[in-house]
Amino acid sequence: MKQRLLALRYLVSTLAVSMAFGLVCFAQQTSGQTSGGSKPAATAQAPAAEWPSDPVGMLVAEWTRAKNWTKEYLDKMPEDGLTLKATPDVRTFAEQMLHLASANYFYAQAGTGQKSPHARDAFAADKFKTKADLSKMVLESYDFMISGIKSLDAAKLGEKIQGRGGMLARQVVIRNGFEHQTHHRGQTTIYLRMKGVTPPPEPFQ
Amino acid sequence: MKEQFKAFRFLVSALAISAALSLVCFAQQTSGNQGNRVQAPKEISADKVAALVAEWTRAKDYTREYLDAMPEDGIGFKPSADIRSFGNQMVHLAGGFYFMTKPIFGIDAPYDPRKMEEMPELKKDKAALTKTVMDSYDLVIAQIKKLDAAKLDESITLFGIKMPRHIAIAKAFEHQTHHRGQTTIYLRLKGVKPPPEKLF
Repeated sequence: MKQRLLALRYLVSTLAVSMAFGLVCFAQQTSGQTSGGSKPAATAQAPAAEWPSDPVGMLVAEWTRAKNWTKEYLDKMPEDGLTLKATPDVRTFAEQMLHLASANYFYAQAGTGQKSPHARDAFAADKFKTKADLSKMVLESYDFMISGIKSLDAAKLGEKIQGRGGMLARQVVIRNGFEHQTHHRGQTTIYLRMKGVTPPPEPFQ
Repeated sequence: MKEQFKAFRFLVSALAISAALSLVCFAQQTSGNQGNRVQAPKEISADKVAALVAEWTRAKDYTREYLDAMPEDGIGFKPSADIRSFGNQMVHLAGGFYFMTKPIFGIDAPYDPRKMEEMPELKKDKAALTKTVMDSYDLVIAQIKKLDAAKLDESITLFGIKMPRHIAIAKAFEHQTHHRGQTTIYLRLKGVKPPPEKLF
């Protein structure tokens, strides 16, 4: 009798978990439809009136916002601005963006435990002749991070791994990656200005 | 007998813990003597408030290196006519904190952030500029130190959006990273090699 009860409880909880997953999956598909990657930035999702309360949801929200913001930078730079550099000894606009993308893969690989599909030389600037090619690579690096974060849970986020600065929680590595992309996107603000383009406003919401 | 054994085990572990604590304390003192710069810890503290204080202290040191690296005559420099000067970027960065002190920490800012960029002494005097910017970090760090883990998770409203306080603090952090990042190019245009990235 007791065993049967246990089995029943097991069944019910399995059902509940699978329903929850189904709901999440549905929600993701729906949100994916409204913020599709190739659509103009104007259709990007409006900020929620309330922040997600779970740590994974919060990180996904922040990285999605970061992705949309970087996309606006890419959209605003004219095609002939990819090779612009502010001085001879700094990265071009495309090199800044590719540096950001390769680092996103690096931090996502370290922080979320996925294997990056790209070798280091995949980010060489001479491989990206058009803004479309560049944008694809950069935005996919955000997708790689976001899908990696979604595969984690709160306990995994707190798990310590060997990082560049010693033993670091996964969420610290992910946050350092966030700071890194903010730092380099920030630099390219000046490149836009030097091309006479008004940079996108800051979407901190 | 069993009770006695338990008590003994308790004593041994208490001894081990206190030995470990004093070792940590000793190590910290020793590393503190190695110069003014605080060494990056080998492990980011698991305590949320301490971890935030460490991150903000690192950010402050990093911005200080930018200010130190820019020559005095670069304070008014701007790469194109329609953007902020180096000095104004830095003032705006500090002003960003003061915009958020009320909603995040519930205190009044010492300056009106909208007026800071017009303050004449911050337009050319590097020492005054540096002090104002460093003070703004110190204010944030002092406020964070007053919080605890529960306060970090407490819901507040920023930009009309309800969010945990620690998310709002992260946005203030992002804002300073964004503007410090921009000034990297100002340094390059003045022929100065920017400070290396300080992500840890």
